Amino acid sequence: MDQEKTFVLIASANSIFRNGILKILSKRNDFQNLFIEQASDIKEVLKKYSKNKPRVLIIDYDDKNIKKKLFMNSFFQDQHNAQLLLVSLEQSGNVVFYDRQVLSTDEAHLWLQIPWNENKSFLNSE
Amino acid sequence: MKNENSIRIFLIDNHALFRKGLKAILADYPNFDIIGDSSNYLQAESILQENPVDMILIDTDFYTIKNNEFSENFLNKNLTKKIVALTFAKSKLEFLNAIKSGIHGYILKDEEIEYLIVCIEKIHSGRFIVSESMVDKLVELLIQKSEFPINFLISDRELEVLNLIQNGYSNSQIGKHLFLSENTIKTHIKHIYKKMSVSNRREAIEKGILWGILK
Repeated sequence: MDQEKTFVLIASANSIFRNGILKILSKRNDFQNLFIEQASDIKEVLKKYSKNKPRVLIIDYDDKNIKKKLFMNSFFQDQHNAQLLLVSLEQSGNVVFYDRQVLSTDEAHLWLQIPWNENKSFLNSE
Repeated sequence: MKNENSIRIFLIDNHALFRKGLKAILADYPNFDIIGDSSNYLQAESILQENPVDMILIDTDFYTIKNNEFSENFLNKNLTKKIVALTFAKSKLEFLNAIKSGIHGYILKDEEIEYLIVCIEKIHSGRFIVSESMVDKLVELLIQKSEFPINFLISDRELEVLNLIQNGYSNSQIGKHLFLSENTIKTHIKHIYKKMSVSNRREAIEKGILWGILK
């Protein structure tokens, strides 16, 4: 069922890029568990983001149609576990990856006491 | 299943995500046989020497002349039959440099995949294809080329300066290279601009290439 699937949103005005990412994802072993949507402008991005709360977002952030500031405002105001891959099609340098984990204040307190190099396993223990 | 008439394609693009995505898309078309992909020329050249192709789709910084020489190399060494620029670059200079390097098509990355597919097939069958939004620039370039340079009596020294400008030298670097003061270089550049009826370096390089005095 869709509820059990991981929702992925690919946002770019560039059709070749969007479809290319889709093809790459289609080769994953867990492809059947992914629910992938595409968005080609900020209106579509915000609509699909707020409606579906994607677990994974792949954003072409230099794309003028995406309006990165508007998107980032919405992303930071929201609170759900999400992985964000910021890609620039105009620049072939590094991509930026954010893995947002939402914790209760109790969990945050615990997190502060655990050595930093062990935090990853703590965050993934959910 | 690929057949023996499949178009053998190689991709060169230093944006790995775009390149790998495009490769995955094209690989699904039975008419295309994707031989390989690379982020740079040298690696591409060594692969293509073993396995020449029908077409290279290349995204490059056509602003720098060195890249054009690479494109010419691929053709001269028969590593490919066709080279197609697949790029975001929309400036006249990059477009001009690409055409000068002997490409067989200039397709913008903004295009839909279906359009790209059609272009690849047409170019393979012998057509020269340019993305529609670049056609105006092509016309402008043709008009500029047809301008007769009445006042164009450029000196050897000015040509030397123009060559260095094309190679990305700053005024002070040109001065050091030619053992002249920076002010003298500025004067040469002023004369070059006036003779060529241009207002900046980019335009001077464009016209220089169009008129055949720059490579």
